Amino acid sequence: MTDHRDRELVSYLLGTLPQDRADAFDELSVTDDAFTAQLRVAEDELIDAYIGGELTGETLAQFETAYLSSPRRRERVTFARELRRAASSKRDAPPMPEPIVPPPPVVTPPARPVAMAMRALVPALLAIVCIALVVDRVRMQGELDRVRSEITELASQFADLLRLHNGMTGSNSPAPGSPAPLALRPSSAANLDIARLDLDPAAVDSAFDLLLASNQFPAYQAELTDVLTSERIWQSDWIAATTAAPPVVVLRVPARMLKPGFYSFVLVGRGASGASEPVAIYKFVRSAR
Amino acid sequence: MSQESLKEDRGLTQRALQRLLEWLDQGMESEGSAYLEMRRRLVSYFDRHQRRRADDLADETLNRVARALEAGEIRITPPARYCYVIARYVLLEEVRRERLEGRLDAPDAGMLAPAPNRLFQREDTQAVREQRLECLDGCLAELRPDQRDLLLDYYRDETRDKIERRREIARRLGISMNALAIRACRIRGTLESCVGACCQGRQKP
Repeated sequence: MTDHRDRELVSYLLGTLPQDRADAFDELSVTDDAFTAQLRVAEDELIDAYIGGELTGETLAQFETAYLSSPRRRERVTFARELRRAASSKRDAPPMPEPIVPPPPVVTPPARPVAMAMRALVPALLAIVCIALVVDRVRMQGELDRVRSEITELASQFADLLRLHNGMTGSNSPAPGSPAPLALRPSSAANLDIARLDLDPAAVDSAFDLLLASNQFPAYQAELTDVLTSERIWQSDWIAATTAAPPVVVLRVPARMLKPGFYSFVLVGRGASGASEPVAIYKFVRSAR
Repeated sequence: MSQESLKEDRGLTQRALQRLLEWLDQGMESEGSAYLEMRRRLVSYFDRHQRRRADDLADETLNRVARALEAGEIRITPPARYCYVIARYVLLEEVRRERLEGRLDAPDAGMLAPAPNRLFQREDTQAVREQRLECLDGCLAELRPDQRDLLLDYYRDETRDKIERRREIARRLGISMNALAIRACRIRGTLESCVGACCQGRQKP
């Protein structure tokens, strides 16, 4: 997300964004998953900055008069304070133990030699049972991880096979002589480069390889936005990444969508539970030719 | 469905509610989470528009959507877009109703800001504070250990160290800083809902 976008989100939260832009943000805050996620992050960071004493001047004044005018938002600030205290107080504490269900009270019969021997064995038996349960849990967790990774692997292999099939049948493949896909790396502080797309005016579509740092989701969806107008102009289907190293999400965007300009892909991943979350942003410029 | 419970309106049949859930799911089995997510977005929308009854207005919006679904009147897709269109109507009606009742122009009377220096210097009673902290502890314990560790790690530094720490967490998890911020935000949202529900006595941690 750009600094400009960050500032716009903060202005929106403080009620100082121009009305037409605020209307657009209103709609996105209900309809757009990626925008909603970014807005929530911006709101959390704004609250944290307030309780950290980092807001000053007009922003502080707006926060106290506009943002804090809602009881619900005041509750959010109270919660943020408590969370910060909890994080600070627990940072040096040992890890929180799992909730333990206490065993039922043991009724002890009058002491006799056999009973005494049994009583001595009880702690050892309990310890053995506990260890067995822990080992079993670790084994099950390992099994779960293995199955999850196999599913991810299968999904990726399927995507590869589909690409191979499309290549063999000619469907969804570039026309002979089409340029190679444009490989895009996620935008970050370490990667400020903006790729350049030279598109043949006769091209039907343009291929992109979105490089992933790691393949964490069985399915991805990319949304193409015109950066200058913030207009969403295209969206892919849900697709799996390839198994190649590094993993890649392959896209084919109709060329008619790509007029000369500045664009970004917002890539969203969807987990097995169906929940989706933004993964990365990729930027490129389509040059005029 | 986790921290919040589905609101069943008096005028909404179980069948209409079920149909609404399926429609919002768009073919996926979200077990009600799509409904709760939409409701949360609508509550935030009304709250940003200074409506004190944000919860009621969000429920009213979803009830109208459910009735339109039953009547087969919905032509707009996707579902979120239709929900937004209805929410705008509900908001306009609410503003008009309040004006007719002569309560205010805008914003909602109940949302007028108190003087800033009173906002957070009010002292909750000791009992309320203790209850909140107990709820926070209980809800933290309900999180998965990896989520709890991430959250406490993410928020533990208040200085510039926090940027480096967060960069390190992102590197360890193999995700971008942006994705990490969103993940922490999600867990924080879950925790916040749990604490809110706990404090209202709707749910024991």
